[in-house]
Amino acid sequence: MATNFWRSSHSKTISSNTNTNNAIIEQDLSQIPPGHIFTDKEKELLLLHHMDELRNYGTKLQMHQRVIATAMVYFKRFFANNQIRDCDPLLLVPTVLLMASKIEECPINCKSILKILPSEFTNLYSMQNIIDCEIHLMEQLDFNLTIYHPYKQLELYIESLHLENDVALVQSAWNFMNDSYYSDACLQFSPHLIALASVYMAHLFGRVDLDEAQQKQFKERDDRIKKWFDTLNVHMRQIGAITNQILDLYKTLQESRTGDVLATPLLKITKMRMANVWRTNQPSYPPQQQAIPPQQQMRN
Amino acid sequence: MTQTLRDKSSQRYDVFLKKYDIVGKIGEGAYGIVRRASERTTKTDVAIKTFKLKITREGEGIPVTVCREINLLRELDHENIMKVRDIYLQPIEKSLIMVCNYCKLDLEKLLKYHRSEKKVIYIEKPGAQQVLKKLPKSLDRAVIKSVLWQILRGLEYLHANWIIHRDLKPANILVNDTDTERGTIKIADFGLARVFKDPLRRLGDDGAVVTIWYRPPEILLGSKHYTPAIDVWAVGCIFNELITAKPLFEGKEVKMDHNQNPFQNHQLETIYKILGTPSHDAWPTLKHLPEYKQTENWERFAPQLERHTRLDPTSPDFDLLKRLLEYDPMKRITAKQALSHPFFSQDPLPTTQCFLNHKFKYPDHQFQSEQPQQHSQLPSYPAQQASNMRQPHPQMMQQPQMQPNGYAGQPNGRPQIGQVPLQQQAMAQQQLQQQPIMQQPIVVPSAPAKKSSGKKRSSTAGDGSGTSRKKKK
Repeated sequence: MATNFWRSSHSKTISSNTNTNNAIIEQDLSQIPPGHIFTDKEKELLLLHHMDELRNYGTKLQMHQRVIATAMVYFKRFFANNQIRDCDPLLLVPTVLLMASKIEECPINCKSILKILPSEFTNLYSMQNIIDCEIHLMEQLDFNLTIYHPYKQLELYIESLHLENDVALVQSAWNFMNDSYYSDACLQFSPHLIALASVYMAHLFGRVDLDEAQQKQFKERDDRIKKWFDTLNVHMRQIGAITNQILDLYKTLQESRTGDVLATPLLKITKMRMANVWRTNQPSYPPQQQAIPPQQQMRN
Repeated sequence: MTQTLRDKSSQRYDVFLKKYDIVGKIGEGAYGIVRRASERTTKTDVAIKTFKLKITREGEGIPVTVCREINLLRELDHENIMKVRDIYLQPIEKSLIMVCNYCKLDLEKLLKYHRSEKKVIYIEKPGAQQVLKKLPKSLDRAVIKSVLWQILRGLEYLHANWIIHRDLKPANILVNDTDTERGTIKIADFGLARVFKDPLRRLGDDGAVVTIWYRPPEILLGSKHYTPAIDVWAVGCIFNELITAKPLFEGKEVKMDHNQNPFQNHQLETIYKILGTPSHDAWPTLKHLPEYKQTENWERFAPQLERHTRLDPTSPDFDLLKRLLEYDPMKRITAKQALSHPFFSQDPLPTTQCFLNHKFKYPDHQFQSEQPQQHSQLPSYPAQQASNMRQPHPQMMQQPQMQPNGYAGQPNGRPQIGQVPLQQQAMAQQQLQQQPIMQQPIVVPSAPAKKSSGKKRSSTAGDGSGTSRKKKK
């Protein structure tokens, strides 16, 4: 289990994770107030925004990188199967941190998490809300909680390529790998492939800024990396797919930082928060929507 | 979270209610309740473990023991490890429901039956008349061997996957005994188990681990970094317990209010009295252990293990026992090595069905009453044929009486699995959907619970099994 990724629940979720999202979206749109519907793009932007927060809080709590990474995968997995209206991402962020800290065996108390959360959170939610949310998080993750990470593999590959001393390339590979958690790559590909893609991208983009003389200098290294990839029994198409996902992610991040694309979904979600859509203690929808006839429930 | 998340939980819970038929309650502990059920479509027996998610420490959320158990059991897949078939969330009480293999025995029960020479069904040969016959006082050597071999197989799998169980004891080793699978061992209860690969935190920081009688000397001496060898020590203790039907090291637990993990001098002394005081040659790192200083002035004891076991000191059986109970964890035999010990290559060879040639049929779990106050009113029911292993629980016969007044006899008026027929459960859910959730009684106790009661329960036999046994003596 801790050694064999291919027999783990993580490996199973990867093979089954294709196209489940859209099916859920189409199913029950009619029952949702229009103000509560987010387009795919809006959802993506909002989630990216909150994952940034997740990383910030994790760093503030001095959590280990692996704990933050596990929390990020939980966050991604949760919203791959659920919509924004199912759970406020603001509430899910501390919840995934709490859960991940326990699964990675360095438990952190909810009270300490609460201490570093901004008033934006504490005005809306309490510790009890996080704890109530945790059990639903566990259920929505289908109780599959062990997450494998590409860190060990990356170290291994760099060693096997004799690149330990190439600080720039190693650093760049680590950055690509850490960034991959923001994309859907961690849901769709095994950690081994993500580590490979990180090395590949570091090697590919490390050359972009070089002039011809420098390129010659690195020729020997690049040829070695190319040969090494050829000896692997790995589809370069998959490496390419991960590379594209990470590049798309950078484009989206660029957009959300320069333009005001994030403004609309943020406004929408603020309105929903003000309308207390996610508060546990209050019924969120009008009563007539709560009492779904049993037959209809069955169909859903 | 919103209503939609709760609806999703309710829908999954409905699936659970439709899939399984609850037969009766078979156990209860600090963690929750265990019930026996059968899967409607396949008629397979299952055990349903309901975790009460009460708060053990404020701000902890789901107790870390429950997280570990769910996380590990979900990933593990081995013949000798308890298998989790399904996990559900009870949306009203917010308790977790684990559907596991049903096992009618655990080693503690098995030993108790033999110790008390319980009368059980005895079948001379298939088709023959069933008679009641006393169980012999001790277990058969072939059965002991097969049990031990299967425990070691399960343990080897765990250790190969970087997991330490940390709470092996007879009560946590279940035995599946059905018509088709006669005596397969399943290691259960992973509340203290933990992955020891690349730990972010020292294992020693987890507080007390392993129930006192099965706790190895390195932990008693305060070692902060321990290894899978701690599980092997427990297997050694269990091995001798199977032979003599009596725990090997019955020390008294030291309990202190201010210190959760005090020095257990009595348990250590009990071990020294039987195995002899360890020498520095036999255990070179002994002097570096934190509590060693406290033991320096102790009386020296000579080894006398052979007087506490029934084994011939020249037999491979005794040699294996000695190797499992080796003081130095570095020298202690590993689960993998133990499996190729000569003991297991001698006749009779171990099997995965340790009761295959057994003529005794062990009794099933007794059903326990869900509401003690109703017990006296139970109608007497006809004597069951001895061959019918799935006797209906008296309560099930009583259910028609319960229907008119809905939740009669249920103290809090809330449905609980196993009590209310499906129809009523559905009714209850509709009622729930029509009223705001906040009006439901809150399950979580508001009074601050005792510190770390969650940890204590699994490491100190707090489910009553260990203590009840002590009282009898």
